[in-house]
Amino acid sequence: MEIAQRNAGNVTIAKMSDQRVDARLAGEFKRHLQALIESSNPLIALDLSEVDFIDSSGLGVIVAALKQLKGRGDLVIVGARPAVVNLFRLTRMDKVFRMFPRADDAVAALSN
Amino acid sequence: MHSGTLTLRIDSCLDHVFMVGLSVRAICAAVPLEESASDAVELCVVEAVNNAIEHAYGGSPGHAVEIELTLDRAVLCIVVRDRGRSMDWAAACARADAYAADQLAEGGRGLFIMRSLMDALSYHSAGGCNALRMVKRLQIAEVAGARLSRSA
Repeated sequence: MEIAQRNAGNVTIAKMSDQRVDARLAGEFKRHLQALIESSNPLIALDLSEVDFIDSSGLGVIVAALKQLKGRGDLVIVGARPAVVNLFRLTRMDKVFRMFPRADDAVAALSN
Repeated sequence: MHSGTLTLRIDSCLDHVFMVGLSVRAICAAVPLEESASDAVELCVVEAVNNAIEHAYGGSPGHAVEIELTLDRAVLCIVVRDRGRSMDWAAACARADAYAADQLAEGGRGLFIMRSLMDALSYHSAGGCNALRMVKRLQIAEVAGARLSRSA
């Protein structure tokens, strides 16, 4: 699993390169996000634009990351494809996470 | 309209589940289903197989998980079988109910997803075999209808 990181102001943009975020990758994904939260500014834009499949395990990792932040920062979703958006809606995660089509929009929202 | 039955069998290893997901997606595309319906079926099958591996077999490889897909007219029936520890279905449903009330609840998300996306869901254990059965009534993709109209 690869997550490319770059900073835009005080926001960390973490872009996933895997197309499937499933139970197979959940452990590694969780460790990546935990490390990211512990080591960087906890304003995170998670770019899922390459992801076309995510299951409840992957979703659980993102929720766990938000809980780990404990209100110290924020985690938003960028570039989610229709299948991922539908899953966020179905599980009402779209009420928990702000979702943006582009990283620039997410950075602007997080920087305010 | 396609019909028939296909049985897939994988080892109880999470690394192998993607093959089931991609196979199911290919079948859905051939039906053809709307993209969102294909996404839903793929997701539910993956959730069911993950459950069998993680809960019935405790994540340990070396056991069989069987996935039977039956397409009959406009109904897709999927049965996921394992021979591991049986699930407390009532408790699992209670966790899914808890998730429905609180989306940050631990657990229950997978079953919540399956219950939400499938038209019927049931679970049976007998003779050491556990079977999770899912039924999806199919809305055939509009593109197929358009193709038929053009050729008529």
